Amino acid sequence: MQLRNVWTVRAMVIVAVLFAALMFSPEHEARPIGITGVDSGCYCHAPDGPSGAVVPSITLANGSELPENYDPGTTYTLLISFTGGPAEDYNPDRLNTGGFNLVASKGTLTPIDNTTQIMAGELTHTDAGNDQQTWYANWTAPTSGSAVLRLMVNSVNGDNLATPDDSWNAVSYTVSGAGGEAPTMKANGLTVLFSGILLTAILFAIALTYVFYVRDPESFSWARFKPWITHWLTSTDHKSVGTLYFVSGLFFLGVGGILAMMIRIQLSSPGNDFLTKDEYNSFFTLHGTVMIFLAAMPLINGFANWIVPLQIGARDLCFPRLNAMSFWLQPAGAILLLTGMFSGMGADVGWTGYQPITSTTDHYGATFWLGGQVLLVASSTLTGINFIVTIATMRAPGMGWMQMPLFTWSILVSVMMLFISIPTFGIGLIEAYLDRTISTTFYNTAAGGDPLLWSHLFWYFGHPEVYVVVVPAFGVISEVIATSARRTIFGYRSMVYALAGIGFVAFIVYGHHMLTSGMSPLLRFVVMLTTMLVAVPTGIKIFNWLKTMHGGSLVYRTHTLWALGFLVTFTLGGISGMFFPAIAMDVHLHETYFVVAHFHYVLVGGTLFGLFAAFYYWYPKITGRMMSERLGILHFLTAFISYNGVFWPMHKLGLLGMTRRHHTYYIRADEYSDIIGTLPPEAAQWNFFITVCAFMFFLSNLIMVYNIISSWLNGRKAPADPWGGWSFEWLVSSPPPTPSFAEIPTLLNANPDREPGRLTGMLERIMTPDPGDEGEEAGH
Amino acid sequence: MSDDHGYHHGPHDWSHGAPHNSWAPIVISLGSGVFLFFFAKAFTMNEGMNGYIYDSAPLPLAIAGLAIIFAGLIAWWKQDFSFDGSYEPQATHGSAPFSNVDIRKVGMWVFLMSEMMIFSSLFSTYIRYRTSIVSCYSLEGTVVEPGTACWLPASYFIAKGGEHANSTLGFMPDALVPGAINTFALIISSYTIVMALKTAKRTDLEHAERSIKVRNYLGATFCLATLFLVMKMVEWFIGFHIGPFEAPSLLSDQFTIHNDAYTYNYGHGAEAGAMTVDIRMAASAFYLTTGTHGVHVFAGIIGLGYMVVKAHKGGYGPGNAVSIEYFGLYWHFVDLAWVAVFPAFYLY
Repeated sequence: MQLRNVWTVRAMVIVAVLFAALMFSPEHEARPIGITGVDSGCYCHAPDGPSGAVVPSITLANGSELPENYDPGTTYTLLISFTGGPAEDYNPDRLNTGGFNLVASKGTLTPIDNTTQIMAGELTHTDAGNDQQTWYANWTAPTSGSAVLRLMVNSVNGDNLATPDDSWNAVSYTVSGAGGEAPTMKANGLTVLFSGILLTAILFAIALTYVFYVRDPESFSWARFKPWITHWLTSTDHKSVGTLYFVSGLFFLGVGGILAMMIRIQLSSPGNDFLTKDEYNSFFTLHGTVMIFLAAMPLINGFANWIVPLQIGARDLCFPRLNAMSFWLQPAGAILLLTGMFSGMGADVGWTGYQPITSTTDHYGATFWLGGQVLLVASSTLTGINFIVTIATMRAPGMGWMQMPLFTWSILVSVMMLFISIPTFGIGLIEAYLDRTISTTFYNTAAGGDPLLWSHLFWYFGHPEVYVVVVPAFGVISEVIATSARRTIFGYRSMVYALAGIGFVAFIVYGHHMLTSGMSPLLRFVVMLTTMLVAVPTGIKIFNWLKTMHGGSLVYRTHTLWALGFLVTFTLGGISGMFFPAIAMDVHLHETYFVVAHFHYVLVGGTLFGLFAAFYYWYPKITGRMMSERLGILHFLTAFISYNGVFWPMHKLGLLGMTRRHHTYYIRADEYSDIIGTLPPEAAQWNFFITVCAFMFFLSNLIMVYNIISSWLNGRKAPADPWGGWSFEWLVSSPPPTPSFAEIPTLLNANPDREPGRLTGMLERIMTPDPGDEGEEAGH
Repeated sequence: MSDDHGYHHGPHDWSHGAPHNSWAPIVISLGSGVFLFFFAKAFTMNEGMNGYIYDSAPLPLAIAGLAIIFAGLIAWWKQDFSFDGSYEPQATHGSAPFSNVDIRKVGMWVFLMSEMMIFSSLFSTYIRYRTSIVSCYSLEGTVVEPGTACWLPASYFIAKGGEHANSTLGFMPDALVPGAINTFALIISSYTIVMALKTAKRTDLEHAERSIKVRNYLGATFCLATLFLVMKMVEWFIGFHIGPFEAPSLLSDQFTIHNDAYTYNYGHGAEAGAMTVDIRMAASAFYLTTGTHGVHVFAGIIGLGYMVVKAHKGGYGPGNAVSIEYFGLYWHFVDLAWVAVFPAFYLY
């Protein structure tokens, strides 16, 4: 008891230290976007990105190149100039030809005539210096350190309109200090990503190999390895397939996390160029796709595979080979999805793949992205068939529909939604795949195709899909809260009806993703109502969980903490989601960071936290070892706090107008300038804060990975029922034998005199064949 | 289910219960990945981002992918060949409303539900385009804005015979003959598969004689399904001229996905004009939907191939006749999809 108190104090001290560190992190100053207050009809930093036609340069005034090493303290006269672009092509009078902005990271810049000036610490041109392409200025070298001179130039076409017909470009020069300090190399986003993934995979492989060597050095040989690898490649046992899903899901969770880190590095400061626009587009596309299809759904499938047969008292799923095929289609799909990532040609279409860009983008990775998702569609459809039939036909004696555990119910509702909605997505994908290969015209606007058709086909699937990933989390939370509160869930029947209600309403709300697409006002209104309606069953579930805890006596384990955290973050996410059905609000919030904040609150704060709870809850059953509670609580505290630090400020950023899916953003130089698309300076500060918290969140999850591995190696042996649960999975040993049940258990009825429900009775009378037919058909 | 053989590491057949290892899943998955990968690799976007450059080099590797899928299927079949129905899983007693129903039958019905979603999505695409683009022949006698595109459905070329309305039989153009043959072929094949099932369940025949009859019925289904695909290829690409019957293929009629220069002449005299037809859209929807149906028929042919071989080796009897029933359910669904596709795409 004493030891636990001490550890809690230590954990709180660590968290306090982390908070203090955050408080004192350096303030970020935003960089202004260029000249403001000069009414000269030029558009600096047109959002299309830099133009290769404009060639900026800095040389010395006498025409020679900048020195490689400066003389400390000497003053150099620089010649700043550019060629190319609209100033030369379209500007015959040579008036209002261009501008520049020069920042020196070290040393001082001083103007030498009235064509340049210092504004906010940076050298730029004046109104008088508006009509030229060359300027002169002085730069006084510092005493030490590498100086980076960053020049941005604007080539203006002189039509006195601030339009993106003006082009810009940027260049950097590095002048080293005496002694030839090597300039720091700029990180390349793709290299970092590739290295990150490769490193993760190699470390994982090494850890795995090491584990096996350490366990039994004598038998570390091919003769022992071959049956082991054959088992894992060919097993159809639900427990092995479940473990395969976990391994693959956790790996891709890491990959998705690394992609997110790339995105956050890029967004940590305005005008950043860590990633190009195309790379950034690929990264957020694959972050979404990997996280949903290769991380969230496999992890859910892992638990479904492991736990559902145990909970219903079945020895396996009903179609084991199909189950294995569902799994193996995922790595095959993953290879296709990620094609092109490392050469900069990855799919750059968003996980939503809106048309017509998906059918016309020159990134060839998009075709493979479409193909890979077709495989994942097949995988999900087969999973759906498997689980529906298993749950419908292989339950233990005594387990009617209304006696099933809530996790099994949640998996049933989830796969029903999945396998009805995903074939539609498959057809949309095939149409887009054919558009990109054999030139069909489904989404080709020039040939009469309709991009909105994709939106309908996609979102008819896409909306049920997000419920597919969150409903199993509901099931996990029901199990965890009931066990932790040491009482049965409050309102079991209403929980089941709420799940079924969510499952049904999910199909009639998808229009809320298209409220700004120009659809008919009547349908917009209808979809607004149905979207608000879907909050009702979800709210019922939340109140039932609260009431369960209120009527019970809560034991605080790690899985309990994650369930409580889920209740907070999922509720917040659900509430922020309820702003969108109000169509007027949606017009303002669409495509802003408010949306990003909402869905990360429900996807991470809902699905992922539910999965974490499930890991801590069922890990003893699956591996036969107990996880470390200390590391679990540490993981919870660091992850939960840093996660909120990442996504809570995004609500504010969204309201400030920060647009999602844009590779960078720009800050107003002062509060009077009102250039469209710029943000106030606090946006830069919040973005930097979010990036720091994102790194903390990423690293904190490694605590759980470490916990998983180290507990598996030397955790305490787990009993069959460490938490006092009462569903069938707690009957068998930890880990369960194969087959899981030597003898199928019978669920005894606590209310034996209760008549079966009307619906069950009706269906039973319709569906059950007469004994006569059965004898003839079965023949055994 | 007996598991007194200890824990097997390698795949085995049904000699003692359902197999719990198999190479088929991973091989089929990787084969599908290889196929889609190399098929995609054969096409790259051109410079103007409005067309595609086709490179035939990766296609042999795509075919290799299909071969890998087939190898996986062979692995699956090798395991199932010895299945004789002595272990046919039935729903447990408490599983209302499916108590005592064969689990694989429930599985097939649930699978057909997802297939319904596939075909309804295809029909959605077709309906969306068909109802929003005006059909060309409805514009006769009206004033047409220049630049309007109109819709010529496949039925214009098939049921109306297009510009070559050769009609030997009088009540329908020759171009519709393959479609009619296909319809009857599928309906009759649905009958033969049911006959195969009934014959397999007969207990009054010797096993050898019964096996031959079952094989013959399954073989008839196989042949009718193959006839369906052959007729489809004739209709799409080959065309025919047999005696008085003559009809061009859709390809030679220029009803293709790439044809963006098809014009339709409408009106007479002073009001005559020519409109650009949205052939590409009509062709895309037509070939994808009928092609998907054709792929389902092809999958059935593959399955039938396995079943014919198994029947020939005496593998079907009253004990496992239900396996034929499951295929029959799938086959009836394919027939039903055709009954919807044929009028919607060929006649309307």
